[in-house]
Amino acid sequence: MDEMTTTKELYGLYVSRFGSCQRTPYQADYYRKWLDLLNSCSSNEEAEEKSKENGLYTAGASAVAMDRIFANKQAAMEMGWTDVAEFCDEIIQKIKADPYYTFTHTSLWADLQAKKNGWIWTIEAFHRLFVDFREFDDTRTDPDRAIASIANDLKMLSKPSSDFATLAAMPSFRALIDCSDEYYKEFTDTVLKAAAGHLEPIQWSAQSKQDEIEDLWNKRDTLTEECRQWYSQGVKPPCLRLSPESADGKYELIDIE
Amino acid sequence: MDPTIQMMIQGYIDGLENMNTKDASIKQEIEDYKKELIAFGEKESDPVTFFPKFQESGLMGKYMDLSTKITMAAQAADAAASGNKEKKPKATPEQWLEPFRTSYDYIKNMPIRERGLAVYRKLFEIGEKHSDITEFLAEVEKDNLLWKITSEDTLGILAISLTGMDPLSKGLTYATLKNIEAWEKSVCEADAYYLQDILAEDVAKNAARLLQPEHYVICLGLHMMVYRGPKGKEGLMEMIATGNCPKPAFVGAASNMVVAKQQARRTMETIKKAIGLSFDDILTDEYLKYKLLSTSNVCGLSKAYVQSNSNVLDLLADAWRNEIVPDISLIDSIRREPSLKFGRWRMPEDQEHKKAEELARRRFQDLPYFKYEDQLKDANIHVGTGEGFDIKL
Repeated sequence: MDEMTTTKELYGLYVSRFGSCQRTPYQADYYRKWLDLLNSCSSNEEAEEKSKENGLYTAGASAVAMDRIFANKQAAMEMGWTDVAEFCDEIIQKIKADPYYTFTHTSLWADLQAKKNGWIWTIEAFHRLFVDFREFDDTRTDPDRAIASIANDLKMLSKPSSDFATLAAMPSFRALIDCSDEYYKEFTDTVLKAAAGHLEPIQWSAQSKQDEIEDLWNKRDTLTEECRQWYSQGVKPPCLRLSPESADGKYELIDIE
Repeated sequence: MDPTIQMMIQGYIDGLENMNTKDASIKQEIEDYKKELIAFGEKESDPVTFFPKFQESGLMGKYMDLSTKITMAAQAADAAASGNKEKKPKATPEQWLEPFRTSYDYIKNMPIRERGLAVYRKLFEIGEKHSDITEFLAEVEKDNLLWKITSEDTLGILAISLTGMDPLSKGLTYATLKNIEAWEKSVCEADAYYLQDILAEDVAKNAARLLQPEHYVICLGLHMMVYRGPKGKEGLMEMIATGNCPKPAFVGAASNMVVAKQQARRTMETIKKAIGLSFDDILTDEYLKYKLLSTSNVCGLSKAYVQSNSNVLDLLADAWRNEIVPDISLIDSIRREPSLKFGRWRMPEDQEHKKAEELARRRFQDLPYFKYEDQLKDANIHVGTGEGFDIKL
């Protein structure tokens, strides 16, 4: 096979792979243009010279960058991250206008990530708010701590809204929390109360059982024998729990003697 | 300025200054940037929100641009110093493959990464068949081998890491399973970016959600351990058995029993209300039931755990059914103890933890993850092959 035919075959393969992938229209277009150029030339050298004249020679890197941004845009659109999608469009336009844009503006990747972070961090903060609520709700003993944790996590909400009540009412955020609607309402009410700076604690007390405790203290000598029997028993060793091979298996337990 | 923020700002300033640019105009830009950065740091008081605000302000972007500018200026200066170079001859497949041979040599001491290594070997075989670079690249492209170097190695490592995880822990395995799905679908870099973005949102949404049920059970277990353990019932029994029985300590342990019982009942009501599980449902769930006990991972990515004796689970179940639910008196609770044969319970000590770790390692030594861990130690190398998709295990 002569050199020209091999080159065409190679570029044909690139067109085929990038053309069949939905994320790579710019690379597909880049290689298609190369293939067209090769078909219009009699040698690789001629094609290379012409590619330098029409800008194709240096367009490969920007095609890769644009596809990468385009892939981010597609994902953003699918997830409803409109500001991210718009930002991606702006970047693609800038790369089209200046093929060296990605080399002189390397911060664009960090800027893009920052835009995406707003959405991810909101989801993560919403999860943490539920953990804050759970930690408080289990015994409701330390409202100040809960108010501080909740305040911290509320600050991280930004996309699609920074308002907790708005987010909590959205089906996509409701789906983040695995609990009944009744308990979800307790969660959202508690977060809103904490945001307003007030949570009611539970005062746990053994006061109601003082007679029972006193009775136990007075009769403790009658329990000596039972307690000694219990105390004389050997201490059970701790245990090693080994995971099964698959999710439908059972743990294996081994005493550590 | 907040000390944490000050530390972060100092890190950025050091980063730029350590690049030692000789360009006077860039030096001035760095000085201006430092002033801007310090003013921003003085305005911000909360380290939690500092980073996102830093990104939003554009200062992060400016930092990246300045770093690139310094690097490009240094490269331009180097090129000017080295003069014009002659046009390079066309590379041979052998020359083209050189960097790949370096990567291959780097990871070949880890035969467990067979999936990635096989792609390298195939690439080298094709290289040996051709003297012309275009013919070579065409054959490589037919199998999409350049992408497979990254994707196959990553898929291999992900599959290996899965064998070091507890398959019952859905919150733990979720991200890896989804990652495998994404990498299997990807055919090029842009595809992987798309799928990784989708994956990032999916994992953020679901991995934490899958962990939520166990939080309730852990809370229940803690209350029951206070009720039944040394802070409660067992503390009282030990004081009575040994005769070392100061009244304040005795009353304290008895009060703990009373309060822990109330708290356990409240937590169980919450579990029923929130996720619809009863105590028996928890006990029949192979994964959740052990969350009632204090456990800690001893090897792999949660492949084995050490915990108090397994009989403690029966003991807690007994306490729940016969003491907490019927709310029997403290004295009746102590009186029924001798009929039980469980004995005291305790958490493992360091030595036992080490023994458990050795036992688990022996048992799992043939699993790919543990071979991988050993080979990683021997080879002393970084995981992953690059292109921005390194895996951190």
